[in-house]
Amino acid sequence: MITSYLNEPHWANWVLSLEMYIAGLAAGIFFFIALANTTGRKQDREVGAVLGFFPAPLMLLAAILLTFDLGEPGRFLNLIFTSPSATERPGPLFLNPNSPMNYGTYVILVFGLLTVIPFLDALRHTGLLPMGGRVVEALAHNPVGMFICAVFALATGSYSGVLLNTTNQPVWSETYLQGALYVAFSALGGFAAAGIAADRMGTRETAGAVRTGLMGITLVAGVLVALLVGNLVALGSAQPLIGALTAFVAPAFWVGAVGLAILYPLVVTATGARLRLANVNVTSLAAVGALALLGVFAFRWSILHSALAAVAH
Amino acid sequence: MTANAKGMFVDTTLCTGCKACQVACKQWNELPMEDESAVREHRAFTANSYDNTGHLSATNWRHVKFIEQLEDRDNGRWLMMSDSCKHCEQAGCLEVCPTGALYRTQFGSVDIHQDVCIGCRYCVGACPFGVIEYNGRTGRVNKCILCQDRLEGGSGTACAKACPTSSLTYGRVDDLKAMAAARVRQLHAQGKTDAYIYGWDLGNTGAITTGPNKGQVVKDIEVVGGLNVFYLLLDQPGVYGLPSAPQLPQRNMIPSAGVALISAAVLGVTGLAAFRRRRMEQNA
Repeated sequence: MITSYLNEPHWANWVLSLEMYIAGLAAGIFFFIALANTTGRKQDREVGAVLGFFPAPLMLLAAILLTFDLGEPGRFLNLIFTSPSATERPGPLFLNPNSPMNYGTYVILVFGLLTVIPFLDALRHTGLLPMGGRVVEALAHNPVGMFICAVFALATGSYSGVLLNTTNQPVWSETYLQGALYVAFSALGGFAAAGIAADRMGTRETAGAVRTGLMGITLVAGVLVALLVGNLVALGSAQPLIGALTAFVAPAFWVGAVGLAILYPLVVTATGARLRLANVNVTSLAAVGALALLGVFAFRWSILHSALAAVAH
Repeated sequence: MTANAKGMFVDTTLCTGCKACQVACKQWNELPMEDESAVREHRAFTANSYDNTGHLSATNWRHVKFIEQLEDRDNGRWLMMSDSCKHCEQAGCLEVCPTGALYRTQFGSVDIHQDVCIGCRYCVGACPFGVIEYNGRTGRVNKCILCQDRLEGGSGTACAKACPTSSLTYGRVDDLKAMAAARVRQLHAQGKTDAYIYGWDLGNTGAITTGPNKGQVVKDIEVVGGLNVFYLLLDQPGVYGLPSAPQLPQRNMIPSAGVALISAAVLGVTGLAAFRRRRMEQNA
């Protein structure tokens, strides 16, 4: 473990976790919309249209939280434009090829702009868009356009993970898997949100697609989590995730990320199990989706805190 | 290496733990005490050793470590080391800075444009030595800047100026390396074969003569392209809280992005398949 000589970074953890979660969720939902709009049926597009209301406001919220975290909105400009003080780098656009945060800034900027498309399409779908409906529809249902959007969505989903990987912090940097994990949990969040929408809207066919998607994505996420834990155990660095060293990290990881986000949706979608608790159908797609969303947040939170916890001890 | 790079040679065998360097650093750079949260969380004053700072931070740019190696009540030794930013030739903090706030000076040291720093704290996680730290008061990061203002004025660093035993020596890195090599040879000739250099490989090899690691072989270690502030040590790097093989953070960037790309492709195919093979509820 690489902990003894490191300072404990005093980050505003809940803000960071929330930022990562919200941006990842926006990316996951957009990923689902891109698939539904291009490969799906009419029902799928209707669900996609409703979900289209979410990515843009979520990205806006993530930006507000980031601003709150960093303090000054004006400082964001230094991520994009070379400051006159930083004369060592060629301008006018700033790019440090070794910094994933730089690449990520551009990716998120483009993705943030792209989220306007499904938002406008959602307005069009509900009759609230006063003009340009045809252009919006053409953009939102163009296979090439949606493929590009899906690429940016998945890149945004993986960004925070690659960011954590490119550090010298325990757990974060000790495998190459964080980017893959983050994108998998991002897609999982998107399909979980789609599950809630499909269930509430009563769209049977879309619900079927969501079930298949959830099963496949939870399998991918499960394999990646197993690889992560296995790698960390082999390196002797798994303590923050598997031990009692930290009060909440291990339970959040196992109960939230593994239990709620992976195992529960996997079992329910694979077996078609049915269960009612206190008159609530906890195996409905909406319930599975809601619990999975909670689990995705637990994943982000526990991974972020695992390194901090390791350094703190 | 930057031509005519300036740096410091820290000879830990000469350190008496007087902390004059810490005081000089605080005074010259007008560094306040730790913030209130640090006091509340007992990070500001450890009170469990003669070490009164515990670690480097945004307001403690220099830290005198007291390492106690006690065999029993009567036998043992203290290893003391005045630690600071190493001004690495390949600095992890500088390498990943997304705004260009961290930069290489004309003296080869690593300084911070405070007006460019956005307080993202990415450098904090990237430094393999745990040097740079976020300053909650200013919303930016801070660390030792090798007294950039003094160097521009032709003076040496404040800490080296204040050191009463010459444990800290400021100068041209090339000159300091020659001095360090001579000092290791001198110590080896006196039977102190523990001595070796951490930061540059000057070809010295020895063996630890006392303490829990007695008998272990030690040899000069060049890390992250060389350290402009480098150390003469008497025990394994880990004993001093230094990593034996520090790495640059960006080593992971391309592999991580590659694995993420594969994962994204698998998820894309999975998503496409989901719309083709729908899993319908049996009795819905």
